Parts: sequence; C-alpha cells; structure tokens
Amino acid sequence: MRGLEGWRVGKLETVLERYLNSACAGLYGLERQTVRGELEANLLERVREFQVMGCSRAKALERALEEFGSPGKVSRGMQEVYILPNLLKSGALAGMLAVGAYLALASSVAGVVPISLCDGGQMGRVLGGNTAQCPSVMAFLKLEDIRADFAKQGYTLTADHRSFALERAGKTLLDFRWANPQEALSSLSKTRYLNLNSLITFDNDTQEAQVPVRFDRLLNPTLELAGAELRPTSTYSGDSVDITIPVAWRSAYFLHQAIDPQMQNYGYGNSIRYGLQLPHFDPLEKTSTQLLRKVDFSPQRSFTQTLEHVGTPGKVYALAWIRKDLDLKRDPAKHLMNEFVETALATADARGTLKFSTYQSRLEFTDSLETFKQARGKKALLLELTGRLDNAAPAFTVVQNPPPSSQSR
Amino acid sequence: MDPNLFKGNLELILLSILEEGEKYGLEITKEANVRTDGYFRLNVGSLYPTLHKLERSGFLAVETRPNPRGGANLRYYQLTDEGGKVLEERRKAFETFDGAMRALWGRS
Repeated sequence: MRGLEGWRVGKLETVLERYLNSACAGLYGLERQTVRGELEANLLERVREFQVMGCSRAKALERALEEFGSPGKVSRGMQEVYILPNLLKSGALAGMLAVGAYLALASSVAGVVPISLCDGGQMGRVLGGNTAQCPSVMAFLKLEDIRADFAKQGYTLTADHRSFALERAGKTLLDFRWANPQEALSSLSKTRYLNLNSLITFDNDTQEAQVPVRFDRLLNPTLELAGAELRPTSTYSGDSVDITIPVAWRSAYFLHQAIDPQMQNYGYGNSIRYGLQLPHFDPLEKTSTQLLRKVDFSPQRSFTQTLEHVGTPGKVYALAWIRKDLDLKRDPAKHLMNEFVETALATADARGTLKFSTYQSRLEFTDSLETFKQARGKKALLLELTGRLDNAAPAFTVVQNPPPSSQSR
Repeated sequence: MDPNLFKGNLELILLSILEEGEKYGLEITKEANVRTDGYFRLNVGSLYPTLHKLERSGFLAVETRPNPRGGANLRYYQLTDEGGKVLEERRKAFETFDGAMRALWGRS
C-alpha cells in the first residue's frame, strides 16, 4: 500500500508512534491530542482483535496499520478540516510560520543530541507522549538560502527528494534518507522549501535521533543541526515571504497558551511576517496547486493600530485581543460563540512607535491579564515579549498604562 | 467500487450508519463493511477527517468514554437533530438523482 513502506519494521511502539506522529503532522494542541488519541485507541483496538484471531503482536500491528492505510492521508484530511478553514477564516495564513535565516557556526560534530523542539523543554524521543503539549515546528526553510548560508560557514549542504546531507572539509556530518520523501521538500514556482519537520526522525533499532536537531526560542530562533548552531544573521525574502524577524510558529502558539490556555488561539503578524506556509500536500498532487491558489498569503488586515512612544526600540511587542466567532461545532441555531485569543506582533521603531494590523476598529487597553480574560473581548493587552517561552522564564510582561491607540485603515 | 462515487457520498454513508445509533470509528468501519458485504471499505484517511468535519458542522455529536478493554478513550459519534435533518435531505436528493438516472436508462 502506498505510503506504508517503513511502517512495518522496527520496534513495535516506535512503529506505532511514528505512524501516529505522521498521521497528526501539522495539527497542534487540543486538536492534535484529540486526533492522536482517537487513532491510537481505534488502532490498538484493532490490534487486539487481530491478536485474538491468533496473530503475534507484531503481525497484529502490521495488519492493523495496513488496514488503516496511509497516515499521510489522515494528516492531509485533518489539515483540510482544522488548519485551512481556520486560516482562511482569519485571513492569517501569512502569519503561521517561522522561517528564519540563519547561520553562524558553533562547532563541528558533537554527536547525536536529543531532539528538542520545545522552548526550554525536551521532546526527548517523542515517545513520551509530550507532543501534544509540544507542537512540532512547522517551518519551511528556503533551501537555496540555507544552502548559501551554510556555504559561507564552510559547510556543503545537499538535499533532494531522496536524502539530506551535510559535509564540512570533506567530512560527512549528516547523510540520511527522508522518512517521508514526499513531505521533505516542497516546491512553489521554482523555489524549493525544506520542511524542518522532516529532519525529525529516529533510528528504529537504537531509537536514537538520526539527525541532531534543535530549534529553540521565540525570537531569533536558533537551529542546531549536527553540531552546527545556526542563528539568524540576515533576513530572507521569497516569493510570498518577507521576513523581518524570524519567529517560530510553535512559539507563537506557546505565547497564546501563556495568555489563556483555556482558549483556542490564532496568531499572526503583519509587520512581522513569519514566513510562508506550504500545505503538507504532495506537490505532485493536483490538490496542492488548487489549495495554493485558494490561499492568499498576503495579510488582510483592516486597521492599523498605532501606539506612539510606548516601546523600547528594537524590542518586539504583541497586541492581544479576543475575537468571537460563531461556534459551528455546537448548535449553530443557538448562536454559541467561540472565543479566540488573537495576537499581532510588531517591533518598536527608533521612536518607540508600534504599528499593529488588526481586524478590530477600536481597542481599549487593560494592563491586567485577569481583566483581559474577564472582559471577554472588550479589552486588549499590550505585551512586551521576553524572547523566551519556557516554564522557567515568563514569555512576556504586560505593558502598564499603554496609551490609547490611533487607528487608520 | 468507484472511488469518485464513494468519495462524493461518504458523508451520506457515515450519517446513514450512525442513524441507527452511536458508534466509534472502528465500529463504523465494520458496520460499513458488513452491511454492504464488503463493498464499502473505509480507511482512516477518509473516515476520520470526514467524521471530524461532520462534527465541526454540527451534524454529529461526540462523547468520549473509556474503552472497556482498557487503553485510550474512544470517541463515540452520534447524529444530532441537525444531522438527522441533513441525512433526510441528502437521502431524498440521492433518491431523486438515482431515479433520474434510472429513467435515463429506461429502468425502474
């Protein structure tokens, strides 16, 4: 069956984890947790049935996975249900992703290190079930730019649809084949993008990370790869990408969680455009181009909120507010509303002026997080981002007594 | 089985199966298989995204309960009132279409 090669070998739990991870690729937070839990429950139920019929556990799992089919199809189907409608609804596709520009070299190969895609936290081997609290990076990096930056540091990077390799001074630092080749590289027009998620892969026998990769921090994220530490040194611009500050999407997610974990959250920026999201679709499939055509990558914000002399030049601020939407998940006739924390980001200019793009025409500020939550949409917050999101350090400080904003279209 | 026909009617198939009572994913797969003598073979790639879509549309309600045999919780799907209405509408539309095709072919 297409797409199942490689799922049949390796330690059983690893195989199961890999299948579930792949099936949930691109989903985050509660939705990922829900889908993953449901698939796992039904899959293990089927495994038990095959075992009752006399199969060994290994054979039972193999048969169950074969019957369930390609995990990529689940992932694509679920993204159509959860990701794209939300993005299209909020007009926020441009604000979904982290795409950085990177590269300053730290050291040569330091051996395999644990994978960490959490700010300050360890995802470990992804077997601990922490992935729901620790959404993986959805970053597509412009391949040619990364290759050029690597070259400046003396590295040679080669990547195609079969493998990914990194060399320095004739020494091979990395050389491995993609676990999901169809998801590793995507093309838009003539530009190729590397899916950072595809670097996360495990050896079935040793359960060690095959690629030592670490993607860290909220602002100016660091990418550690095979002992090389890659830091933003430049900005990229691409077909639809205009990145002024690299911000990790998962970090934006954590920011929202820090503001109010009870709510669903969306985030995007204008003055900071995180980058470009390419749908997790096989570029060879027609659906890919259809989807790309439907999606407008440009920010569609109605109002610019300007706050003068409020920020520290160069620091990044988030404007947070609550949007209400009809909750179609419940009974549409009752007009129940969902509430979403939304954020826009901006960097303070030399005069400390902040310019945010929002849908809201008028925003009244509070400087209390509790008031923000209780006011349910009537108050906005201005946050100064600390640049880190982990349990030990606060993600932001609330700006006290922010001045009223002036809005313009 | 014609994949286009199947895909085009998957929501109707699922709503029809759940008309008789709540079920979780694996039960739905089996029910579809048994009641059509193996003609409908649902896999996860089509089943779960469609169930979640119907849930988000308000046509299905979900209750999560522990699996009596242990392990992760199961999500039981059941038709909402709105889902029942939609099922009726789509069933009528399908019958009308089917009747029209048969008329076209000169069969009843």
